[in-house]
Amino acid sequence: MRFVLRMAGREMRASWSRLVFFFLCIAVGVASMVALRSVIQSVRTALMKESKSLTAADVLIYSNRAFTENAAFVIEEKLKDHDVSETSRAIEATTMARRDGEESEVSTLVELRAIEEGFPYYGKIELAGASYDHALLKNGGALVRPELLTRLDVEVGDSIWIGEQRFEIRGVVVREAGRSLRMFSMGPRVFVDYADIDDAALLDLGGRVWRQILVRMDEEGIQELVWDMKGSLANEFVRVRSYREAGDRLARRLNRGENYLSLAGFVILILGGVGVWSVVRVFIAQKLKSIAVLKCLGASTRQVLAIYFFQVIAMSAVGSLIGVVFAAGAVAAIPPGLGLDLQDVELSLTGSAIVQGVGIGLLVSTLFSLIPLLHVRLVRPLWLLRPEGQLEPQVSTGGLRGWLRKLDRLQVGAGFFLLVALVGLASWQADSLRVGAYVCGTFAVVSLCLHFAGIGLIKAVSPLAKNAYFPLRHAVLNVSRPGNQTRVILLAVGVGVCFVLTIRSIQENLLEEFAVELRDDAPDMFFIDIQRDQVEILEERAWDSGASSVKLVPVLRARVVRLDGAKAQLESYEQVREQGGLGREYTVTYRNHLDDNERIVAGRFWDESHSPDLEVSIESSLRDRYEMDVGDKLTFDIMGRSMEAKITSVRDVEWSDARNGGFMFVFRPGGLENVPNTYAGFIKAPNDALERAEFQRRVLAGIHNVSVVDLRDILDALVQVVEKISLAISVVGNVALLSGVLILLGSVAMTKYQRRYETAIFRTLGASRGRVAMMMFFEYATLGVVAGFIGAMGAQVLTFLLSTQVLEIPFRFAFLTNTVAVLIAAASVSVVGVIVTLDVLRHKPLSILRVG
Amino acid sequence: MIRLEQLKKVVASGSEDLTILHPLDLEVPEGQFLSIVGPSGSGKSTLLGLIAGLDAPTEGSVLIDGVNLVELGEDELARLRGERIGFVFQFFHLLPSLTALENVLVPLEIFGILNAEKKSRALLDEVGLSERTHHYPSQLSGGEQQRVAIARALANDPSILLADEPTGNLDSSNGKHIIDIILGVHERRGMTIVLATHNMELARMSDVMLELKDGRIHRPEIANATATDAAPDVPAEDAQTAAAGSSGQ
Repeated sequence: MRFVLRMAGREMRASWSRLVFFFLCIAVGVASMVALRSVIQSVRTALMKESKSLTAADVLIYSNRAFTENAAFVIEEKLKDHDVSETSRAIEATTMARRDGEESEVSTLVELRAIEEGFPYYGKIELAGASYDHALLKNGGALVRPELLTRLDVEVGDSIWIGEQRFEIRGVVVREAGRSLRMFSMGPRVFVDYADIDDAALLDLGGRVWRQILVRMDEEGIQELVWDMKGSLANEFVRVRSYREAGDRLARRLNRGENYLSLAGFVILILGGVGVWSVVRVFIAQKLKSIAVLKCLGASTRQVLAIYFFQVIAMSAVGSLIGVVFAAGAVAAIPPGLGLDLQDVELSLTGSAIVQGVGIGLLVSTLFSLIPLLHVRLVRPLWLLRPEGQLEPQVSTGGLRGWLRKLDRLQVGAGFFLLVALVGLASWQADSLRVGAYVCGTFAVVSLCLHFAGIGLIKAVSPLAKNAYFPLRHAVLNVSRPGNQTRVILLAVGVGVCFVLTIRSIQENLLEEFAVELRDDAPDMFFIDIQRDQVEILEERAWDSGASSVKLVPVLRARVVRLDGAKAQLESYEQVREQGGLGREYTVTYRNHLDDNERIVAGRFWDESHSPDLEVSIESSLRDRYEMDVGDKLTFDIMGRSMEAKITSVRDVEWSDARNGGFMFVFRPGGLENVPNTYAGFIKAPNDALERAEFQRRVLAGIHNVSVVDLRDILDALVQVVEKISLAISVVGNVALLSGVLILLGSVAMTKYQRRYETAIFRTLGASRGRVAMMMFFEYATLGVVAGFIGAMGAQVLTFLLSTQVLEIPFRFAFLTNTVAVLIAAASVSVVGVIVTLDVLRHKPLSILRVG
Repeated sequence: MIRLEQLKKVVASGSEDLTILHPLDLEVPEGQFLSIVGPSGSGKSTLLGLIAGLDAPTEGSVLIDGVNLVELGEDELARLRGERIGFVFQFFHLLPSLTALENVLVPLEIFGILNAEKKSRALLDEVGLSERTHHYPSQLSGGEQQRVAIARALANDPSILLADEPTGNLDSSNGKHIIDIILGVHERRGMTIVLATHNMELARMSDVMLELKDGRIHRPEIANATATDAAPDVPAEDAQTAAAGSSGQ
C-alpha cells in the first residue's frame, strides 16, 4: 500500500501542471453540482415556506362535521405519539355578516375564520397600518378584508353581526396566511377569535363549516403522522393532509417545480460524470506507457490499478474543492448576473450542499472512472516492445460472435454497476426511482445508439476518403483510423446534448404551462345565476364599472341518463349512475364556436347553420373513461325533460387555460334555446380590493339573485407562487445549461492530447496551420452534427417521458429548439475542436515529436 | 536457466495470420551471455518478449528455472519478472514523472522494500550517475537514460538480464559506454544475459551468438564468432564498427 501511495504521489507531483486541465474539468462538473444543489436547496426552502404559508401549518386535520368523541380521542393520542410541537384549532365557515344598527338590512356572504393564538404557524397576517396581534381579536374583535368595509359600508371601529354575535372591526387584513380550504371564496374574509364562536350557532350552518386542527412539528415526522392518522381516521369523516400534498393546483405546481429542480440536479450530476469519464479516459491513455513499464517491472494489475485509482480520487478531491470555490463564485454571481430578484429566496452555498456536492462529486468521479480505469488491466507490458499491437486480439475475429468475444466482460459489468448505482443515486437525489430509471435508461440507450452510430458513421463516410480535397480526405481518415476519437466525441457530445436539451425542453414546457396562469386577462370574478333579462344590463354595468373583459355564457344543468354507444350501452339511469361520475349533474352550455383553449380531436365541430337535431361535443376524458365516441347517442335529463343528442365531436380542453370555464358537454345551438337557462359571467374585475368591492356593489345594485365567486385571492396566491417557481426553473435551467455546455466542451477539449502527435507529423510534412485547422473542422463538425442529432432525439424521448409521466404536463415538440441545438452542438464542437488544435499548433513540432 | 521448447508466435496482420517465430528450441545455461542478431523484423524483440513473459506464445513453452511461463497468469508473470528478470529497452522506457533515483527504487518498492535508497544510489553509482540522482528523464541525455534503465533492471538482483537493442537508440560513444556497463555487469554478477542487437561489437563480446532471419534460426550458436563470419546481413557500418572493435581487443 505504501508503494501504491508513494507512486501515486510521485506521479501527481511531477505532472502537476499538466493535470491542471484535468482538475478544471472535474472542478467544473463538481461546481455545477454544488452550485445547482445550493440554488435548488435555497429555492426549495423558499417554496417550502410558500407551501407552508398556504396551509399555515405542517399538517392540517379537518372535517365538515363536529369531531366525534372517538375521532377527538384518536387525534389526541396520535398527536401525543408523534412528537408534535404545537397545535391550534380553527373554524372556517361561509356565513352571512350584516352591519350593526337597527335600520340595517345590508348583509353579505363572508368567509369566516375563527383562530386561536399562535395562528398562523407559517406565513403571516398583514394588516393595513398596523401589525397583527391576536389580542386584537380577543373579546369580540374582528379583522376584515377591505371589500367588506365597502360592501357593508362600515369602517374600522364599527360593529358587524355574524349570526347572533356582534364583533367590532379592529383592523383591515391586507394579506393572510392559510388560504381557504376551497379554491374560491364566496365573500370577503373575516377573522375572529376562536373562543368567541358559539359552537351551537355554527350547527345551523351545516356542511359549510370546517373544523380544523393545525399542527406544527418537525419535518421528518410529518409524513408518518399523516399516514398514521389517515389510517386511523378513515371512517370518521376526518381528513388529514400535510402542506406538501398535491391537493390543489398550487401544490401541484409546487411539486412540479421541485421535481424539475431535482431532475436538473441529477442530470447535471450525470453530465459531470461524463466530463470526469472523458478526463480519466484521456488521463489513462496518457499513462499507458507508465502502466506498461510498471507491469514490466513486476507490479501486479491490482497495484497499478490502485496507483491510478488513488490519483483519480486525489484529482477528484482537489477538483471537487476547486469546484466548491467556483460554485461559491457562481452562486454569488447569479442574481446580478441574470438580473433576477429572488425576494425571499436567499441564494447561498449551503453547508450540506458543499458536503453533498463534494461527496457526490467523489462518488460520481469514482463511478465514471471505473470503466476507463479498468482499461489498466488490458495494458500489457508487451506494448513497450510493440506499441501498435498491444490491445489487438491475437486471432482475427468477425461478426457478432467476434464482437461479443472482444467485449470486456468486466467493463460491461462495470457499466451495468454504474447504471444501477446511478439509479440508486437518482432515487436519493430526485426522490424518485422512476425519474432515475427514466434518466439512466435514456442515458444507456443513447450511449448505445451513439456507439453504433460511431460504427455506422465510419462506414458511411469512408467513400469520402478518396476525395481530392486534402482536409476533407484526412478528416474522413481521422474518423476511421485506429485509435480514433469518433466514439468518444460522439458519446460525450451526444449524451451532453441529450441532457442539456432535455432540461431546456422541460423548462420551456413548464414555463409555457405556467405562463397561461400569469396572463393578465384571466377572469377573476364569476357571477352565477344571471337571468336572461339581466344579461344586457349586467354586461353594460360591468364594462362601465371598469371590467377589462366580460363574457356571459348560457348555462344549464344536465344529467346523462342513457348512453347508446358502440361499446357501452347503459339503458337506464341506474346503470349510468353505477358508472360513477357520468351520472352526476353537469353544467353544460351551447354555442357555435370553439374557445381558445379547445381543440377538436375527433369528429367535426358544427358550423353556424341551424340544425333541427340536437348535437353535442364531449370532452376527451369522457370518451376515454366511458367508452363513448362520435356517432353515439346520449340521453340527457335537462330540467326534467328527456333529450337525445348525438355526439358529433370530441374536444380536448386545456383546463389550466380555462378562462371561460371548461365544459364537459357543449351543445349545438338550436335545440336548447327553449329550455329555461341562466347565464354565468366570467369577468376580469379591477385588481385593487377596494375597487373590486365597489365594482361588485355597482354591478349588482338592485340585483339580488346573482351570486358572486371571487377568485382574486387564489389567483394572486397562484401567480405569486408560479412566478417564484418560474424564476427558480429559469435560474436552475440556465445554470444547468451553462454547466452542461462547459462540461461538454471540456470533454471535447480533452481530445487535444491525442491530436498532438499527428498534428506535429502533419506540420513536419509541410501542412499549413490553416490546412490542419480545416481538417479538424470537418472532422469535429461531422461528429457534432451526428452526436447532436442523436442527442436531440434522445432528449425528445426523455422530455416526453418526464413531462407526461412525472411532471404531468403536456409534451410539446420544440422543433426550433431542437434544430438550433443540433446546429449549436455542431458549431461549438467544431470551434472547440479547432481552438484546441490551434493550441497544439502553437508548439513547435519537434518538441512534441521528441516527447512522443 | 532459460529453456524454449517449440516456441512459436503468430499474430494477426489484417485478415491474415503472420508467423513471427517458427517453432524454435533453445537453451541458455545459467551465467551465459547470449546475443541474438538479425535484420529488423526477424523476430528478435518478439523472442525477448516471450522469454520475459511480456507476450504469450501461440505454441510451445518458455521455462525459466523450470517454471513454465505459459502456465502463469499476468500477475504471476509480473512477480516472476520482478524477482528474476531485468529488462532493458531500446527506448529506455523510464517513468517520465519520476526522478532517476525514484525510477531505480520502483522495482524494489513493488516488492515491499521501502528503504532501499542506499541500494538505488549504489546502483546509479555503478552506472556512473551518482550526480544525476534527482534529475527527471527529460533532463537526461539518451545515454544517461539508458544507464538509469540498466540500474533499474539490476535493482532486484535478477538472475537474468534481457536487453532489446540497448544501444540502438544511442550514438557510438554512448553506445560504447553502455556496452562496457553490460559487460561489467556480466563479469561482476555472473548473470545470464540475453541481448538482441544490431551492434556487432557488442554481439561479438557475448559467449554465444545466434542469428535470426524471418523468424527462424539462421546460424545457430556461433560461439566467439568474428563479425564477418557471423553476420553477413548486418549493415556495413555495424560490421566496420565490429571489426574495429575486434581489432582493438
